[in-house]
Amino acid sequence: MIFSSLFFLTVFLPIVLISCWGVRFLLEAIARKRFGASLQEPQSDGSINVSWLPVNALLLFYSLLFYFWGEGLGVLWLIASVVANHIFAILITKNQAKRGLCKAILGIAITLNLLFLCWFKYIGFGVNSINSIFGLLIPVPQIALPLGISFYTFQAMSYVCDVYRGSVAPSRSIIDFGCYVTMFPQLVAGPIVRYSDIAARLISRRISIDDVSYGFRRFFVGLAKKVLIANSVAMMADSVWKFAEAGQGMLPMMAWIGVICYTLQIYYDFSGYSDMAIGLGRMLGFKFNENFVYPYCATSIRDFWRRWHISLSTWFRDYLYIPLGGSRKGKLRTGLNCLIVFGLCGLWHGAGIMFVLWGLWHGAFLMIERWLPELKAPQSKLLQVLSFVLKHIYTICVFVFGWILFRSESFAGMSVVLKSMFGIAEVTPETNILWIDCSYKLLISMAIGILCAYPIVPYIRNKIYKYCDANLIYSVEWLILSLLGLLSMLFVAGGSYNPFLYFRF
Amino acid sequence: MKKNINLKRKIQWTFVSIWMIFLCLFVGLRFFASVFDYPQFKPFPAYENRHPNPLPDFSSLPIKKYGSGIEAWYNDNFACRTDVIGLYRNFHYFVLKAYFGREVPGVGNWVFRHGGDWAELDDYLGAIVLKEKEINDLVTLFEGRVEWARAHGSEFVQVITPVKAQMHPEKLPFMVRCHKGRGVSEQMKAALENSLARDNVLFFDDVISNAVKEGREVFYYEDHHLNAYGSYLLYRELNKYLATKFENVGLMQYYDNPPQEVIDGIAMGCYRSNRRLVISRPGDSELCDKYITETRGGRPFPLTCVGTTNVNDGISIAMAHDSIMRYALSSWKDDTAENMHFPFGYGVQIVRSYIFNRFPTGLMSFIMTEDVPDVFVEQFAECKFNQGCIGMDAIIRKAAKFLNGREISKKDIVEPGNKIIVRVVFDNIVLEGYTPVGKEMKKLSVKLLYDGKEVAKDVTFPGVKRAIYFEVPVTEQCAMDKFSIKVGPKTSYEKSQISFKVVEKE
Repeated sequence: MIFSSLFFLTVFLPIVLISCWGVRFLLEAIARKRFGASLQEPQSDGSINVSWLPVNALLLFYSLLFYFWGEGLGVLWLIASVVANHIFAILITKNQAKRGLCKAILGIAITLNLLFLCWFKYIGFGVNSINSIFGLLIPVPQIALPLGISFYTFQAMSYVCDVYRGSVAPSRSIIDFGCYVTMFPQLVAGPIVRYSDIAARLISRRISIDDVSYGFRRFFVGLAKKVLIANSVAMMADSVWKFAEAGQGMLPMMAWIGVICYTLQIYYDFSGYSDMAIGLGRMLGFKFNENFVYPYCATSIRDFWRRWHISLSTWFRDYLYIPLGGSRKGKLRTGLNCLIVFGLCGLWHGAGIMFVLWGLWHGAFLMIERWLPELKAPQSKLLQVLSFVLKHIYTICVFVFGWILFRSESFAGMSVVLKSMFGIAEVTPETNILWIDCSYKLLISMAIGILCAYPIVPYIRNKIYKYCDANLIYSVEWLILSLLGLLSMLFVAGGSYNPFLYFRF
Repeated sequence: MKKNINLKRKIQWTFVSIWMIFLCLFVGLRFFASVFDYPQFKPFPAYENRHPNPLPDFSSLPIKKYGSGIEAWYNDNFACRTDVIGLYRNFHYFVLKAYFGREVPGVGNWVFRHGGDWAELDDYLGAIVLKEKEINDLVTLFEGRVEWARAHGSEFVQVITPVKAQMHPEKLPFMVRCHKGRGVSEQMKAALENSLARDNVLFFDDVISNAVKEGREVFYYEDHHLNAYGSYLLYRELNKYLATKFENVGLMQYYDNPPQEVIDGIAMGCYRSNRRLVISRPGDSELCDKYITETRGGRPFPLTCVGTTNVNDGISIAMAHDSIMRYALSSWKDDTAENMHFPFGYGVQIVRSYIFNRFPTGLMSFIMTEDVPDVFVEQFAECKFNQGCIGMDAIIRKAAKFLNGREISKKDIVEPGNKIIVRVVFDNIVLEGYTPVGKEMKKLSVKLLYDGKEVAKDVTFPGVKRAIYFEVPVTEQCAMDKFSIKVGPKTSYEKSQISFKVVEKE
């Protein structure tokens, strides 16, 4: 089940919201009737505060159902991960005094989590690589990759590490912990939520109309990003890469359009999902951190990674980069750390050499940026603007080329794309069908995608708020977002059109 | 300030409530309709060409597929689906001018198709590039069929019909229109230039493009079919061709006056009446007086039907075609089939239509069990050239080699290193005591002997005329008069004729 499916939007989501809100409302009503006490905070006289455990249990049930829907019995692996990591955290807490033992438990926890992840995700890649390097013929195991395994494994590992470090108290209830790990808004596509960010809200939260309203609005933004922009540009990108992987060169215009489309697709797809996750979280009373902050506005690769998939980059920073020494052990070591971290970051994205290269590409530029001396900001305004533009163009070139690496399945495919972009590929007539994809829909989606990659909408919004009535603007925003939501749902529903392609009739 | 906050709260409550009600509406309405039989939803759209997915049978599904099975059912059965799909389709066509499914909107309300089974835009763009092997196979196919049909006393005609995109480039989307490539018809015409089958492969793009230039409407705007007038033009052209091959086939007296003049009764011609062609010509009467229909697989249309004239004289045609040449040969509905007008002129007595079929050798052999049609006509659209060499088999390959081979007589001697193709034609070959039932065809063994020793064998079937080909590599000096044939037990025939050709070294 994906968020942009009709079943999720019109069946699963209403049921989850109504039941969670309903249960909470009912419990509060019962408690009010029985105890007549305020339920926001525990009272000093010891009056009852209604627990969120039943709602969390319900949420856990729905999240496991959500996972079961797409993965079937793979949900058992998820449950095993929850139980195991909860036990590890409890064991670490119970043996706080014995640091050596705690370290060992942490080591075992991390090892088991990584083995779990590597077995499902990287064993095939590993065996293929060994076969390629050593010319062996070891049979490649065909293991189905459980959905979201990278996300929930990292989440669970961060929890155990934080408990070990003492930065967060362990969850006393496996239901609360399970709810945290399996929460369906962020289970399959992030953001990677730290336990410390929602620990308090698991125990005590309030779902106000503000939260629900914000949640809906954010969800519509995410849905529109995914359905209206990402899906529209995806077709062109997929077509271009399909030809490239088949070794078929195309006209430069087509190659460039394809690359731009993929650059937009990955951003809007990913950030759209994050927006939907954040929106859903808010509807349920949880505040997840931002995951994307206009990354395509960045003026350096360092800046880019402060804006792109923030939950992942901070995870790697806190749990890998800093333990490796970070930037504290000289330039050479810092550079090496960057390469290691980003190489692994690439590997996290996918079990393939092109993902690793993508990670190393970014790592290399981060390394270079760290090594470059800090330049003084220019005095003149013109030079400041020029400097900004040049840095921005440099950043765009780096991440766009990075996406070519990321998207390509092979060196050959990547080479065809690059050659086509610069007009040195042999153009095959079959690629002419790409002209069919060049419709108004594509051009509109690209234009909107490029514009909205910059904070133009918030800028306009802030300007308007200065001059007009706030509530009026708020209503207009709601109307616009509702229209976007309706249009997105039309596209989602229309996507169920699936004709039998029998044109002999 | 408090007033502002209260107003903001009201706005929030309003929108959230509306959205919650809206999201629950899809399931709510469906539930309400199932209980109270109201509201009535429009049926599943016919243009999807399929039945909606039923609720899955969980006992037969793996656990992992439960979710996708339920979603597939829900996606086909949610409330107001047909209206929503229609709205989505119209939005794509009229606002975004983007393709929907495989339908691409052109200028105005013109619709074209790309990819899949009808890749007309792909063909226009030159994106269908036939490989050398594909081209050679297609040429071999045409040549083999021409020879094979002639060996049976028949004629084979291949009709290639043009697609709308090639005929109406001015209606194409701008980006497509500007990038015309080399279509498959161009590729095939070049390949067939020196082929012995060239005269039997008819490309009808000229007749359609001439009509388009004259301002006549020959295609439907909204789908890929020729309209009844366009289809009539193709039959007229085919009729002209048959008149050159068969003495008694007269040209139809075609009156091509504008439809309104015909309707007004001041001129002879034809006009379209509710997607049917009405032909008005001197001495005309209802021609098609009976038909045979045979439905297969529960499909709602006849796959085989027969059109006949009242006149008991003339040639017979077996025609395999798609819906482009459907009009006037078959009807979608059984009760209107009798009202179809016969699309051929005088001298054509009977047409057996095999809609949505091609002519593999086996089907043609079956058709010829009791009677050999005077001509086999196979029609398909030019955008289907890349969909495989349907009908190619060992028999056709040998027949093609025979057509291109060098003729030798029974007195000739062939040196080693060559290959010879021996063609044997039987008249009225039967298996004693056997009567064909339905589609059953009994195989009859035929052996080719050289100097009394078997050098090749093959099978044929009982029939009024059967041709069989043997390919024999010559390893030592070979005299043609030492070849003979031997049929299986209980097999007899009226007469046989053996012919020889040498295949040029490859």
